[in-house]
Amino acid sequence: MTPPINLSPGEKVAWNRTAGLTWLWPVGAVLTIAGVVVTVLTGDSTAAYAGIPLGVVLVIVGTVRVNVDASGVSVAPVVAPFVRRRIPLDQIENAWAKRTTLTELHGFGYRIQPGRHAVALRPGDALWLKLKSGREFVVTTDDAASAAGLIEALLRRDEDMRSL
Amino acid sequence: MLVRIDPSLSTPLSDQVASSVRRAMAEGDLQQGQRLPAAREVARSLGVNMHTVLRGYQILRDEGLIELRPGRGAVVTAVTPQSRAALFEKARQLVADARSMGLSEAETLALVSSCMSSPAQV
Repeated sequence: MTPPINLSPGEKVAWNRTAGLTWLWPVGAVLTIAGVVVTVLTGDSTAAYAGIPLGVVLVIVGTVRVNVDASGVSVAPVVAPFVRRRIPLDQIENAWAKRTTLTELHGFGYRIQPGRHAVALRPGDALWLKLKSGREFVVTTDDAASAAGLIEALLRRDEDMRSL
Repeated sequence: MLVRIDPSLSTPLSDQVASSVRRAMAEGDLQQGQRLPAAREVARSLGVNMHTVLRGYQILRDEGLIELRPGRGAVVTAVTPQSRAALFEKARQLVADARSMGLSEAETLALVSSCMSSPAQV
């Protein structure tokens, strides 16, 4: 159990972590290139249909960067940081870490279920957010307890500042 | 990796960035060969100038903890994080030994600071 973090009023924080399986995006790149090469060489598009979309998906969601700071949480693919999913701090109700299986999140990748969006890259440690809208957001990342602890500390500090 | 900086402290912000990274290494959170987050990204999250973060990274480079490669970012070099963790382990052991001998916290700290003020011995 990580000890709770206490933030002083002016303190600035940044937590980040690369999440996911680091070999996934090279595999995706190889698949994509192989798909293109096979298509060009054989003129048979069935290989492309199989290889290219899967490859592109692996490249984009294979490895993501998870950021936590005073503005909130953001998740972005390492290779495409502009495809960013942001959750502002003021939309977050609370945060916790939980060991999560891919079955629980209904599969691999960016999963959309009623009431929950999830970036599911591998089973194991995951950061869970309960949003004020009642929905949930999940991202599988190592050291999720630190991220959750920091979000909780930021939320507490915001509350303290409002009550002053 | 968690970076915490407090502008109300007298310690320069870049030193605070460096000590946050050192802590992450000592705790095994950042291991050999791992890349530090891009200075620009950390600076954006913290709301400080990118050069503040880069100065912090430069302190770590001068200590031999990381390598700064143009265009490739900052990478933790092989041996040092582990030895740092080992140093922390020794410190914990020292505290444990001192406690078992019945030394108070003040006495233990005095022992350490007397070692530090005496000339370096090999």
